[in-house]
Amino acid sequence: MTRTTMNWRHVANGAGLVVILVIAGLVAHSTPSIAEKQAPIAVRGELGEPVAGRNILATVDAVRVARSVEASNGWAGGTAGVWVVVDVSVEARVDGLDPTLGYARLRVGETTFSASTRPGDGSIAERGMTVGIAWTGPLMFELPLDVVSSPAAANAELQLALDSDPRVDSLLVIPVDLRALDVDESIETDRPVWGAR
Amino acid sequence: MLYDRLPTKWLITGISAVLLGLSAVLGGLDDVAPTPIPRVEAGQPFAGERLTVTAERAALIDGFPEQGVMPADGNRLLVVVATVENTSNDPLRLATLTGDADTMLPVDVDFAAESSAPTAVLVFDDGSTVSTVQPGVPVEVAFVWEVAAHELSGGDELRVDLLDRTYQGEATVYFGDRFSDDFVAGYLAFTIDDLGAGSDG
Repeated sequence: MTRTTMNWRHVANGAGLVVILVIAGLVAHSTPSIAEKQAPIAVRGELGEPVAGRNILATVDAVRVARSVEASNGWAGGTAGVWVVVDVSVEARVDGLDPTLGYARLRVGETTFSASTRPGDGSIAERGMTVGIAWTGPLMFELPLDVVSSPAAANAELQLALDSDPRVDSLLVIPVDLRALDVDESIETDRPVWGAR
Repeated sequence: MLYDRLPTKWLITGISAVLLGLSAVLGGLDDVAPTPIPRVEAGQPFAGERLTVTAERAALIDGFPEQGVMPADGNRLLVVVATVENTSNDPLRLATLTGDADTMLPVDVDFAAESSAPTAVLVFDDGSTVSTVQPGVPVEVAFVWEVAAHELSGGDELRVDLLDRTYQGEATVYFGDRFSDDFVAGYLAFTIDDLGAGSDG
């Protein structure tokens, strides 16, 4: 009799251990990684509509693709790839520490491209932002031609955030179908303007 | 028995001595030739961890006034022209800070600046000075260092080391990727061209 009780106790101990190990495994596998804990908070929007995050408000007006671009400041940059030009209107929503449009990226599949600073004043990349008064102007992205025509380009995403590090803050995500766009030979971009839409 | 009276320390020391002795007998104390650093020819692509660099030539020039890159009085600019292609999945800023990798370093040159990082990296096409290279888009750039005018002259031989670092995984304390320290992955040998004022160069 005593012997049977002992055996049952052993079996229960073993089962208990297995249960604890399974729970520990589930916890270990479902714990968010550092990247997940600190991930930006994506705010999804559409082309042509205002998209509002905690600290940023933006409207993407148009997306164009061209082999060469002439900016309003006279800059005309060549590239081995193509230029994706995004006409956008961006403003800050809260008074931060000199906020800038520090994070403007185009994500195609696993690859991300940052808005070029080569055009200087001809683009609004890395420009200082003000609360309630939008900067309207182009962002130029330099991409390889085969990326623009790849299947992943149909589901490309434009990502905008204030400051260079978008973690644990709003990141505006606007889907863009780059594949549907024609590649122009050359385009001119508008002068960035402040306070107008 | 002897075995029972032998102190453990002696045993450990004895075994270690035997192993070390064996290793020495089998060539453990021989000099090992260091792995030679490969020479990279001008125009030959060199694939680093995140950047493929094809260096073309090295030159001395008085300055790039239109780009606002002018040396102090008595100094000139040493320029290495190269095509770089970002082979990673993210935009990559070309190093203008000491310790940044994927760059090149002229050897035995006394730079005017305290840092050996380039004074500027200019994009050839438009002369812009801040150069982030986008994935898969090769760009021709000029790495620029400021040197005293007497430091180098046309016709001199110049060795330029190509630096690289290897990816080591996700960082734990800070955020982002973790890379090894820089190491010299290859070197180039140039004969310096003197472009003078460089109005046409």
